[in-house]
Amino acid sequence: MPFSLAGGFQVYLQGNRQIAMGLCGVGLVQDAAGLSINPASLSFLKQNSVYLGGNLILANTAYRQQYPGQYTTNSLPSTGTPFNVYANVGLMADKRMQLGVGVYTPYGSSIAWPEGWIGRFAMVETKLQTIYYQPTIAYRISEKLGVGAGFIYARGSMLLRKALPIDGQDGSEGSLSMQGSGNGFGFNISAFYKAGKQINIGFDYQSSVKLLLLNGQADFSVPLSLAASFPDTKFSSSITLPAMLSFGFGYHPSHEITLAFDINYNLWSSYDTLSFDFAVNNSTLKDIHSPRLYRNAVAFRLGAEYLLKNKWAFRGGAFYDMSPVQDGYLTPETPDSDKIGISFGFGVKPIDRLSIDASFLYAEGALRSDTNIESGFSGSYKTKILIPGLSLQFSF
Amino acid sequence: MNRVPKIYVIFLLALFSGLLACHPLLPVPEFTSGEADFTNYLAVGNSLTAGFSDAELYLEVQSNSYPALIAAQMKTSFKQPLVKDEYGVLGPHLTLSLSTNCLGDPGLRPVPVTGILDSGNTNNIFQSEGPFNNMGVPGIRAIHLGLPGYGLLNPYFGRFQSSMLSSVLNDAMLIQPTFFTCWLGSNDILTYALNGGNDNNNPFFNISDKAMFESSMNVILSTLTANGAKGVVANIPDISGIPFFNLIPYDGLILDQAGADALTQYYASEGIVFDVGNNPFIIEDLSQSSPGFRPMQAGELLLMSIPQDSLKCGSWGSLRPIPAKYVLNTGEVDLIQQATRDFNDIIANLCDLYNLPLLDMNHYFESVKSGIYFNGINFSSKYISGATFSLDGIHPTQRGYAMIANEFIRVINNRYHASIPWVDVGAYPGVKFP
Repeated sequence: MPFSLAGGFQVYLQGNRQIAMGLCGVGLVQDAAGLSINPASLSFLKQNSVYLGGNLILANTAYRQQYPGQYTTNSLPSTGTPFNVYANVGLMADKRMQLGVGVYTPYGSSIAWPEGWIGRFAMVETKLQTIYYQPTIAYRISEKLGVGAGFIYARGSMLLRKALPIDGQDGSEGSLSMQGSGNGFGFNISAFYKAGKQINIGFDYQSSVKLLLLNGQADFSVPLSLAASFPDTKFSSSITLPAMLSFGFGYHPSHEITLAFDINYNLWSSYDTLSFDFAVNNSTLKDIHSPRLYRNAVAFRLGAEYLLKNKWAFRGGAFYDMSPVQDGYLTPETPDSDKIGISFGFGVKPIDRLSIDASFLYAEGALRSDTNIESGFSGSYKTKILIPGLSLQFSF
Repeated sequence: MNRVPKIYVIFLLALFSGLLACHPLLPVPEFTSGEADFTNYLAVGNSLTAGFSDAELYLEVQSNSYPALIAAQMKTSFKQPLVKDEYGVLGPHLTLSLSTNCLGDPGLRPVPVTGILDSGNTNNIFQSEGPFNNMGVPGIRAIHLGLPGYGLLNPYFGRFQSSMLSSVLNDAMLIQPTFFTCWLGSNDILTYALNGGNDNNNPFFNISDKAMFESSMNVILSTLTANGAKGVVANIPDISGIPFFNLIPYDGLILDQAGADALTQYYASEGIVFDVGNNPFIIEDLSQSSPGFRPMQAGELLLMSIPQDSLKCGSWGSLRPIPAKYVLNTGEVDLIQQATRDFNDIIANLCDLYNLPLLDMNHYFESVKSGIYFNGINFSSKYISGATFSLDGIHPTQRGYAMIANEFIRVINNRYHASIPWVDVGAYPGVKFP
């Protein structure tokens, strides 16, 4: 569904108020979307709310063959529609305990290249979708400190498609398609501290989630004489969605102005190898162990908000997101590079109980050239991403 | 409050401009010929240059010979002496087919393609189509390039020679080359190797004389460069990376206990002992009159041309020694490898002398032997599955030739500061399966 916005296949589109502020929010009390990036912040929400948000991801990657090659192409137009739904209800005096549930899409990636493109033996299409379901509890211990915790149930699915360099006498070319889905578990714990009248600090740890894909289906298309060597078979695999440590700082120099600074530390090194264990093996069909060797990566984010007459909010932000993909491991499946992004947006309260937030984000990956060690596929990639989004929150 | 609606306008404008911006484009480098002039590109060479594959020269592969691929990337016109059909000039080319062997085992095996040989294949086409840019002649040795009347000996040249008494080198110069690639020398050694070391002393099968090879290459390169043409010279791949000499292991005689016991008893007088599992084949040994056979040794090579039925069902290599013409013994392998080193030294020295870049094809095939990945394709020297070699076990597939074209392009670009774009290797097939 979503094209990966952040490093690797992370999406990190938690809510449009946050997106408009450079994806900051760990150190802010904003709205129900805080459930995903800092559940503890909910304990300072003095309301119940229902939140519905969505984004449209328009992303495109250009590929160019290594110098002095003249082959160039673009990935097929990709439109992801990540969404999030949050609800929270306050209990106890002054709503110091909040119960909530969130449904959101922190990881995912989708990219398809033209059929027959030069890198088809490495990858034609890949699609990873995840949905996190997170029941959450937040508790305000004192007027300064709140804590929160969520349990994550994740569902995910993946699709990989590539051509095989096996030629038929009829002019055909082999192909492989693998599809699977599965689930995994994790947790999300956080703390929120009002260090002073103007300064908030947030901390969040989202655990890794190991998605087990147990009943995948691999379909081979090969010339008839090789059909027995490449039988369609079940496969099992797993993908570890990495853990993430986040620190956020919120600064409120006045009632109208909010400034935010977030750091995400993504523990991508858990993504070591992409393995596929085929139920059937033979001398030609062996299990796949494809090295990824991701490294941990940091993202820095800045955001600002200006309130006008308690009805309008204008927001802007920027971020720098470092790629977890090391040189020698860049693939057309995740043509990742360090990304720089800007965002802005606005919020409005047409009536007291309703907030509408719109955001607009533009990000660009640095031009990156590499030769993948495993596939010997070389080239340069350049990615541009555009994400408009809209959220509605009803508070009561 | 009337300022506020402007935010919508700004937002929409940003959205539209963003939509336009969301299609990154990467500018491609311009093609330049650098210090070289590709106007008249000449390729001289043997079967590899001609586009020979699957044991014959046929239209599909010839059309995609590596010089034709290079010329297309150079954006220069290039005329080849194209054959008439997809069959073969002197006989059928090989194709993969499901068949059963003498043991009744079904499997994919190379068989001659069905069709009819066109007797007009060897009719001369020079008058109507010549002169030609691709002067690759299947079977030719470097020492024969300047031989007048060579077309009488070799119908592959006879079909496009300019006259009965012309030489290949003479005809090559007819296009007045401004640039050339030269890949010669394989047949100066390979003819000997393919005949199992020329045990019958056929004068046509010997390894070329070293001094004659040197003087011939010298004449060839001085002729090619005489008018200031620039070019590239490729050297000779060692036979160790060629499936034809490596498909059947020396110890491919696989026995069970009963078989091993029976053979041990059979060869008791020679004291040859057989074990369960892999055993060396028994080969004919011409160096000794009695007993005239012995077990094969590691490092000795069996040729792929050995009749498979005799090996599997005719007791060849066990009860009957494999005839020496299918074996390269240690001495013969040494001779071949020494000649490869010597000839490659000569080629390297002449490259220095004529200030030409050397394409180390020997090194390239050495790297293929251990397997290389390119564009997601695994190239190795494995027969059939390795993508590199065609069904004859000696000549590349179209995909293998495309890789070779890129090796030439790499050297040309480096030496002459040209920017010839790469050949799309994946666009050309490897071995085709039914």
